[in-house]
Amino acid sequence: MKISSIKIANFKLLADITVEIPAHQSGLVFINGLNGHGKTTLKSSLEWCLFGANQGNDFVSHSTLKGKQPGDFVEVSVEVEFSNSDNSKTYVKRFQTMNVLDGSKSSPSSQPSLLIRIQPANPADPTEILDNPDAWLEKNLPKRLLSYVLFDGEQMEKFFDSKVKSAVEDAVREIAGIDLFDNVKKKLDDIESKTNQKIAKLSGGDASARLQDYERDIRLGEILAQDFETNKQNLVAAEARIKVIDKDLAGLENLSEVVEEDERLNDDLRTLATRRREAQLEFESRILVTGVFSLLKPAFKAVETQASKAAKEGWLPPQFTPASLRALLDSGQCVCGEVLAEDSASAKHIERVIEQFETSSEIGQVLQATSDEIKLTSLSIQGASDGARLLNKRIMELNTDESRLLARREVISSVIANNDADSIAKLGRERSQLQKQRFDLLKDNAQLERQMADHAARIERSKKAYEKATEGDGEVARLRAIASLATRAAAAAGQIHSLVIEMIRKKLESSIDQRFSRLVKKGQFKTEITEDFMIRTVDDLGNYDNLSEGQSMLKAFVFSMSLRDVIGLRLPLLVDTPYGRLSERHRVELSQMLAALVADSANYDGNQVIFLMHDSEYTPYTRKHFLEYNPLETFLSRDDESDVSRLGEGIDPEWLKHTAWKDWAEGIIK
Amino acid sequence: MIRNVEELIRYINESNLDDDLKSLLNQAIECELANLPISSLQKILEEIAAQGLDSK
Repeated sequence: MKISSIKIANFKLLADITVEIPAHQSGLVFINGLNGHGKTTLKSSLEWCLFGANQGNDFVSHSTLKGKQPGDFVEVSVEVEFSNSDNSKTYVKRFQTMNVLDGSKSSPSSQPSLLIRIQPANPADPTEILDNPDAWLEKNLPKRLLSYVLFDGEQMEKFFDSKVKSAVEDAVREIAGIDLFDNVKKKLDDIESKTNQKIAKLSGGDASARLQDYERDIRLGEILAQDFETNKQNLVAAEARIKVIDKDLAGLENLSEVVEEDERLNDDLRTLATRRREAQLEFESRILVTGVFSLLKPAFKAVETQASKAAKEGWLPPQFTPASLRALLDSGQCVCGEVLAEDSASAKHIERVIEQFETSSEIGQVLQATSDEIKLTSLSIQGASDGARLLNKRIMELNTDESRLLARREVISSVIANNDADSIAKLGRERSQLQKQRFDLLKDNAQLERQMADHAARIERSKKAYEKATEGDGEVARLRAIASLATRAAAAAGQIHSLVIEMIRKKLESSIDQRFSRLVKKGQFKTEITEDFMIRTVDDLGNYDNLSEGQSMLKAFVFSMSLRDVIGLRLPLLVDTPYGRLSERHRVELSQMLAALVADSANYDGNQVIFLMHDSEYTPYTRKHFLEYNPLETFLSRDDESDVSRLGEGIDPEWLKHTAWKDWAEGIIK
Repeated sequence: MIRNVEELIRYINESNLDDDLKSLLNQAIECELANLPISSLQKILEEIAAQGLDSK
């Protein structure tokens, strides 16, 4: 089913647009245009026509309203022509009459109408107008698959986020026919309940009470089963999240240690700075002392010379003080034991010494004292000088230590900065909470399983009690056979439905893997659709894999195409701004992959891709990847004066006046 | 609306369900696809249940 024509009348900017797509160019179509020239409006018009998407109450082209009077009527219409593989054609037209309020406003004067006609392959056969066009649309273009027919490239980066899992779930359930099974099961449950009521009424006695017990136990059993299912899903979600966090934190497990080391280093650096400051002060003090000493050294030398001379010349005082010598004379005995008789030679000598002392010069005494002091100071200064040398060495060692610590801290700071320590710590806390939650959920699961087993026995008992109360032949037996069959059939419908969903999930996984592996990661890629419809990419080891932006967007395209495979229908894929917000480098990558996707899709008869691109997306560089598929190139251009967009073929002449298209037009770019 | 009815029917037929259940589910799905009322399903149930009673 390919779109072969789109006719739009009075729809927003698109007052009168017809896109004709020739059969030989129907596989790949470009409808290009600058922002604001009508690309997204074209997509909206298809959403309205094919899916009945609400467009508000005022979506008539302003250019159309300009020439109208209040009270006039305008018809807005969008008609899409599909070419089918059997050469028949299907025309889907939605139209709505709008009441003109003034030259710029309108309001609906009727509900939108839908008309679908089918032109058989043989033009001689009559055209069929469908009685129930909505049913045809719901069957061929179900609303739940809207996201997979009309893409918005800017939303594709988020395609596999948890935000879109409901869309994935919708698609899987749509394919699995959940409505069908749900309806069958509900009807069977209803029949069973009513039949049991009839049986109880016929049986009399306490049959009604036993039926109530039985039905109450069944309801409780269903609640337990739901709790178990919810618990299981929460467990799956928690485990998936733990896996994602594990992946995010891979290689960063030691970060907390790194942060601790950083703190230790800061402490060490602070201590080191204090020690160095103290050493520096001491060093400076000692250096001052030795410096002063060096300045005073000549003066000290002169003092020593004078002291030496004074000693030679007898200026210096004798070894004994006059008082001690006088005491010897008074005692009459020398320290050596000699008797110091009056007028003896020794006594006289001592008298002379006393006399000599008294006549010694004061300078001699000063010289002696100064010389002694200088000797002591010299020793002290020598110590200061030695200490200064040691301190200098210590300061140099501290400087070296500091350089080493600073270098280490720089490395660590870089690790911390590049890894957003706060976020990592937050993730770590989240993982801890999830692990606790997982533990609790496992515990709850085990408990619920036990409760469910106990409750199943209880249901069986109340069932038997009810059956005993309604024992009987004839009509009761017939009704009981019906109720029993309804019970078994409802349970079987539920089981098959679960199996079908599982089957669809596996089919989708397989189809995505095959396509994506062909296009991007040969043999390295695996898709996992979880029980709660999250779509994951896992590597060979089962770890979640990170795709590049371009790969992730391509995967969204691939998912859409795989959905078509699994559904078995050939729905066109129309993508507005397929490159989204990708950088130039990723655009080239995505172009190559999209070209491969188009080539791959060509193997499936009836596939059609329509891209709506703006000037920074459709460039000579991206275009060259698609040329071999003989695309139809068209462009929308807007006339500001009339506020109307028009469709042209080829490249917009305005584009050829600037950017890369100018070089392309001049043959500079091939 | 269901996309792959044939495949679903095949799935039912290839399951290990009892024949009476397979038959009932096949017919129930046909009723659903044809938008038939619940009384149609009731009738089918009664017929299959009666066959079961007869075979005993």
